[in-house]
Amino acid sequence: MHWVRNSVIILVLLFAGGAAWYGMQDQASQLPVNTRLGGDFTLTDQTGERFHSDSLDGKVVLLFFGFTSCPDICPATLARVTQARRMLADEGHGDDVQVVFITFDPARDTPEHLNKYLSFFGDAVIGLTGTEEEIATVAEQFGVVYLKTPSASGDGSDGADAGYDFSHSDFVYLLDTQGRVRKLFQNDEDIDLMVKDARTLL
Amino acid sequence: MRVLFCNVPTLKRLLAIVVLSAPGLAAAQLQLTDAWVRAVPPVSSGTAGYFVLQNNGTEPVTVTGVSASFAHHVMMHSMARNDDGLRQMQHVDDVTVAPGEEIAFVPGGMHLMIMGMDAVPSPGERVEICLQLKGGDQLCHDFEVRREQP
Repeated sequence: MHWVRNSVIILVLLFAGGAAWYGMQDQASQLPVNTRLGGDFTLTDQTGERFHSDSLDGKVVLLFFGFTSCPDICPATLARVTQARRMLADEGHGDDVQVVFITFDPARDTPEHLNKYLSFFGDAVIGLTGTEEEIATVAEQFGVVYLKTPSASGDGSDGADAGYDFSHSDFVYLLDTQGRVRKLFQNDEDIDLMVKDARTLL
Repeated sequence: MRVLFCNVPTLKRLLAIVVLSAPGLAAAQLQLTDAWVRAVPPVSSGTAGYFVLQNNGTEPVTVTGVSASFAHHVMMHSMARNDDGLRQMQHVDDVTVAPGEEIAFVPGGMHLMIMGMDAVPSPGERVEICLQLKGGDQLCHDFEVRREQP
């Protein structure tokens, strides 16, 4: 009956090898590095301090651009992305995942305003602003296009708003612990997928 | 039943309530569901409202305007990708719902743009928003203030 025992041993070894291989696949992220987008940047955070992107090293980052006067997409994206981070925090990765919001609108989104606005979404969001030139440079690094447009709500003369919006591309960028872009999500992407992809980089 | 016609003659109002209160009858003309307002930070200059409006009647219904007691301006906006692939909001004057059809105001699509709020409502609050209909009727409904889409 040696053949029975040998067969069992071979099967067990095959199973163990398969499981080990599967485990390695699970740990090593399958997300390709996007070499076209991203890079180092310096802006100003919501405390008014200068902020360099190297302070994000070691963290998985969910980054996106917007403006706080936007009533629909931007708060929706902030809510979704911060929820994704909370789900990862519940798994014990709270310190390893950072949400970063970069405004197109430095005139209205001052550090003080960003601080008040973002505190609504918890204390885990870094809000960044800067000069128009600085923001334009970072937007270009990430392939973000934005245009200042007359407000759909009027010119602001009746107090409805300040008279302009931004039309903009609206991806959420997943950066790895070295600041490399690994994936672009549509802003309405399934939160579970964001979490799953972010998890592969932790 | 939270749907009420406002500012219509009493008889018509009673009739509307009777009709709308009778479940299963095809005569219930308008059904407003999934009504919510996005909870936004207290420093926000505006927020957005969403709902689904179903026309169960036999005549088209046109929404010509929107108002809210807590905000000075409520507008209907569409959200479309422009020629450059960018999202751009556009003001919409009126929206018509054909008989048997529904129209959905949803995140990333058509939405109510709510500006000039006296106070930004908090999550969990309910706020009343009224749709003005062509012909002079008004359809008012409670909207729940929520952080996330129901």
